[in-house]
Amino acid sequence: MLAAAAICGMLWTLAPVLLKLRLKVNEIISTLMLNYIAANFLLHLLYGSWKDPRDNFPYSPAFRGFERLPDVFDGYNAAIVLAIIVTLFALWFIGISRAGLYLRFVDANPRVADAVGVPVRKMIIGTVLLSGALAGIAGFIVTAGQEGRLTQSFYQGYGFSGILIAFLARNNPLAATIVALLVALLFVAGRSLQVFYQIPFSMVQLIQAILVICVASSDFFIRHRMRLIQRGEQ
Amino acid sequence: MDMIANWLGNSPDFAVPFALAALGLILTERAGVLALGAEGLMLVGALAAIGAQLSFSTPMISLIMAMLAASVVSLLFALMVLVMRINQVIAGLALVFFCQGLTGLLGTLLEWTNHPVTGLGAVALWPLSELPLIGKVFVQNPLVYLTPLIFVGVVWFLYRSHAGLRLRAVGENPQAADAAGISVLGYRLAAILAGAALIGLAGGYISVLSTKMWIADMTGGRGCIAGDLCALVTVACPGGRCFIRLHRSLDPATGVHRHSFATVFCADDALRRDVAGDDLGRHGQGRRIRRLGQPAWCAG
Repeated sequence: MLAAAAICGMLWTLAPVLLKLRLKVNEIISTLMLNYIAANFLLHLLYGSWKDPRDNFPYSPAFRGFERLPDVFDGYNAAIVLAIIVTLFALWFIGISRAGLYLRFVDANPRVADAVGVPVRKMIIGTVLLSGALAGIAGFIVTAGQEGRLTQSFYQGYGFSGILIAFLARNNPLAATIVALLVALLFVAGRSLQVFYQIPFSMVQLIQAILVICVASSDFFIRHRMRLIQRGEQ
Repeated sequence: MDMIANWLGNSPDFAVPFALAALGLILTERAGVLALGAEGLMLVGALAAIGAQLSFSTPMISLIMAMLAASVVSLLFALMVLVMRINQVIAGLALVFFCQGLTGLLGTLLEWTNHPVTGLGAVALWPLSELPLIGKVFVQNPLVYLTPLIFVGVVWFLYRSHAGLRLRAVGENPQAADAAGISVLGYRLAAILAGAALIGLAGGYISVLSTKMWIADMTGGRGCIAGDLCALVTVACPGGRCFIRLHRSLDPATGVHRHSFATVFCADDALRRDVAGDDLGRHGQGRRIRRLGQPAWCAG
């Protein structure tokens, strides 16, 4: 299941990256649209052939015991081990491996990288596919770890929060783990606030957005110094 | 035969929000600002319109409130993108999140959720509305008739007016525009505000005239699809809008499996984009907004 999730995630990102490289199709819009394709295809399956035959609700039948991620210790399933492995792998990949060096080179200046002989296209395709695979694994963790079945909206909030987490962490894998934990805290706190104090869950989204806006703006104030200019002086 | 007539009659109602939002996006993108926040602005417009409708029950005021509210929220986007020079993709996504949170919160706190309102009644254009098959196309609410006029106005502005020329210059080459003495930031701000007003109008249309109530996240991805449409239209693909219109309206009328249909629709949409992109890569240089999404470093 893990492998299937990773491979499908990979295949899903194959189309946009090839289109981007071959036809210069804007990857932001093509992937945004692919989100809708995936989401609607999921609904198609859940309302159609994968509907739970027992109660006819639009979710898949519950996974059997061996299909679930096992608990490592009480209340925490193996996803957390998987996350640690992935983080270490990403750290190694970006920071230590040769591919990581190439990757940073391509990021800094693709044309120079190409001139020096770095396989730019292969690097781009490879890393995008790898990230697709990781996203696939993330979906697998949510379904097999937490929910135990495929539901209509299991993915909601994870994808876009992922983008924002990567941004908040400045693309650093270790920082991303910490930020992800903090954002998860925010989400869990939001849920219990909703249950116990009737504070709408949208509050969490709002806080998240304000956080991102503040962090993004802080960049401006780090790089620029504000100075009052008297009239007449320039 | 009835099915086709109903389908044709339903089409404009589905198409108008797309058309208006796409038009707003075209305005901002022509000025070189990548507006991914359309989804959020539509929500703001929708909520503001419902709020005004519940308080004053005058659709005119509601739609104007929708435009104003979306413009005010887009000031935040303008602040992020123009003043702080934040990456426009991040700013757009943050704006969507912000608006989703804000509208969800306000909708719940002000208790505007699930209160149906009376929108505008349909107006029949008399001689046309009696036509046999396509008669129902001409029984629509007034804003539907207004939409083509808005289109003509914006097209005239972009291609026939001096300010429109400058706006396109700002989008295509901000450095040159700046050298020619055009205020890049000023034009971009104006484009963001005007575009947001149109997007807000689209949102208001959905909530007050189409669905006639507020539900959190009610726009359901229509902002993103409008963005996609806008990309289609900017690369000179006039069939795009009609196409979507057909697709969208087919589904309630025929009762085809809704989600399978939506899947096909999105796939198809993505495919069309790719074709358009292909066209663009080979010989579409002239119509491309080259500086889309890049901050205007030169100005300021």
